[in-house]
Amino acid sequence: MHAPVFLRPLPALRASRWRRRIAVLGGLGALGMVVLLAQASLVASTGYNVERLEDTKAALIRSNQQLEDSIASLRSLDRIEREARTRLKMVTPSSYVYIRVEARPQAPSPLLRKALKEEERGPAPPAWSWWEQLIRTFVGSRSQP
Amino acid sequence: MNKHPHLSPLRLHLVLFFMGLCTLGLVVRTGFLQIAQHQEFAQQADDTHWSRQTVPAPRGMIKDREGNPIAIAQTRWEVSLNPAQFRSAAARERAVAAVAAATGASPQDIQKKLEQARDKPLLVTDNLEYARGKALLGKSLPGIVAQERIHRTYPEGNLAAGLLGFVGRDGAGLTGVEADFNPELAGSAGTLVFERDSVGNPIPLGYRSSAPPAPGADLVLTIDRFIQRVVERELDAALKKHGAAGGTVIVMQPHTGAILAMASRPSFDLRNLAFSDPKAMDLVRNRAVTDLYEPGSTFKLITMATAINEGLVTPETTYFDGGPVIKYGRALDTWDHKHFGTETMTELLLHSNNVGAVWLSDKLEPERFYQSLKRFGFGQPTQVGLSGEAGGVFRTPKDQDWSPIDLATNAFGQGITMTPLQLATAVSAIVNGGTLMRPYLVDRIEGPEGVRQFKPVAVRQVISAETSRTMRYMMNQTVEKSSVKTATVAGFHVGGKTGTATVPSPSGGYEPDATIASIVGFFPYESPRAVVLVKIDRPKDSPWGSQVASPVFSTVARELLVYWRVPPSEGVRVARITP
Repeated sequence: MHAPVFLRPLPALRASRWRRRIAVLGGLGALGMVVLLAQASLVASTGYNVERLEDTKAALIRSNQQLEDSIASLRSLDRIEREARTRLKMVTPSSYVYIRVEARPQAPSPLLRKALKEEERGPAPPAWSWWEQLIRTFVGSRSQP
Repeated sequence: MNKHPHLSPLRLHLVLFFMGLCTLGLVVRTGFLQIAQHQEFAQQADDTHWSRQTVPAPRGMIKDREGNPIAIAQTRWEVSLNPAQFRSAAARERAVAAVAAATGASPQDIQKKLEQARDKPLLVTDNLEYARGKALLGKSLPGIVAQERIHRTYPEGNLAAGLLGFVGRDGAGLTGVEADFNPELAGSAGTLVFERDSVGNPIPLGYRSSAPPAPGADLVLTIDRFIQRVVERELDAALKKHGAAGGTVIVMQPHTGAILAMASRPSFDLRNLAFSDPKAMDLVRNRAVTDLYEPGSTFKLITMATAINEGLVTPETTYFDGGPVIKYGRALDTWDHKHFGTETMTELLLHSNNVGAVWLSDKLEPERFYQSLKRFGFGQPTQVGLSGEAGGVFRTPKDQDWSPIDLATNAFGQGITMTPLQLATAVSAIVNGGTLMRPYLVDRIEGPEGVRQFKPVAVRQVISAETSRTMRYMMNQTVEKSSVKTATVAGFHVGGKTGTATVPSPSGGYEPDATIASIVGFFPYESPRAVVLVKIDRPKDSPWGSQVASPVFSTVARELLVYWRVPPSEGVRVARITP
């Protein structure tokens, strides 16, 4: 049994649809290839970037080593003495005068305590109680507890 | 069939024959390359395609007890020129110019050396800065060969050279602490394997495998750079002043055994290693632990401490010094041939009286004396952890060649050998309350996996605390009541004992004019913080320990007391500040 005439596609129309399909498929294929190419290119570029960054990292590590060396050289006793003698015109002491301070030592400030060595710190000052801190806030006292 | 008028079949066959022959030759050659030489060419292709590199591990630092670096590892380039890789004279000139610009050398010099090397690879430098080397490699010039290597730099200059030792071209420690702690300092090298392109760069999507290097641990020594510097400066000054052949100074914490400074001369220059002369290798040993000497009168401290500890004498016990004493047919006399009649044990040490020491040895008898020496650690290495440590030698009645005269001479420090470190360790035991501490040089090892702290090790109690207190008093009197006050420190109380030892001759007996001048002492008297041993070998202008070694002790003690901010005891200019 034949379908009604008005339902049958015209041959020209059928051909044009196939061409469209092929074109779409071709387009998709081309797009896929472009994406693939772009991806490969991106990966390659990222790979080169990683290589370059690793080189940079290695160079920075080496540079860090060199900076450590420079710091150590600048802090060396030879250099300190040379600077003291030539730039600051200091001389080796020929005699020593010891200063005996008979005043009761004050507890060093928290900032100074941090800078001192453990054995030089002495006993820690007693902590302020909450009400003393409150009074200090208003009065602004600088005395030690 | 049309035949070419000029082409004969014979000629055609000849051409075909030659073409066939050539084709056969090519097939045979191809087969030969593909089958017979397959392995070789596959290997060559593999080598060209794959890069396998060893990544050197950064060597750990060596620091002083305050964390100041004394030896730092730097990555540098070792740059060579390989004439076999130059494709033309122009390429050679380009490579030479590039290397000269990077290293700062003269191109003419490099050309000249290349010609002298006669087509063999020429090492241009082994110490090129990393950035410069990298830039040089970036030029990709054939014939330039560069390899990373670990290079040691010394921010404090030649400080503690004999103690630190040095590393070889491969970065491994060869002597000193560098060699003894090489496994900790060296770490382990990493590897990097990757596919490379035609110019040697890694292929981004190619195979890549890497095992990162494990960096070496940092070594924190017990040495204090300031004290070490003071000690080396004073030792060098004393050697120069007295025209001495060599010397040793050791500063030790008596309560822990930590070595704060250790210097020996002659030594070598860390920054200019030149060992082409075999005699130069003689300079690298750490004489404080490897070289034995007869200590002379400084050893009377051991004899006296033993006698007091055994309850045989007290500081006030007297004996009579009536002149040289004859022992087994040999006359033993005082160093200055002076005799003091009746004198106490304290005066015995003050006058450094050999006759008194012989009297003490008679009271001690061989067994107690030699047992005590062993307890003080003589005759065996201290186990300080440095290679090449000597143990010292003394004969005992069990030895066939021992004679009773040995006991008498050993009592004043002759006929017995020890290292300077052994004597400093034994005197530390006398000073610290009687405990023999194991000397140590490494405070801690700071590695990627954490910190390994070394703690002081008490070996044994050798004398009582009471004997130690008595000995400190006697040593203090020996310095302060001496007629030549060369070991005193203004404002402070110190203790010590000098020695002037004769030097054994290789042909037997003793050298007539050579001495070893020494002193071993401690400070401050009230609470000892350091034991200092000074030993000067073969001084020319004066043989005496009191004149040659004592001033070094005094200067070192004064500088250290100021450095440690120890308040003076008395007798100095003191400015008072009152509120």
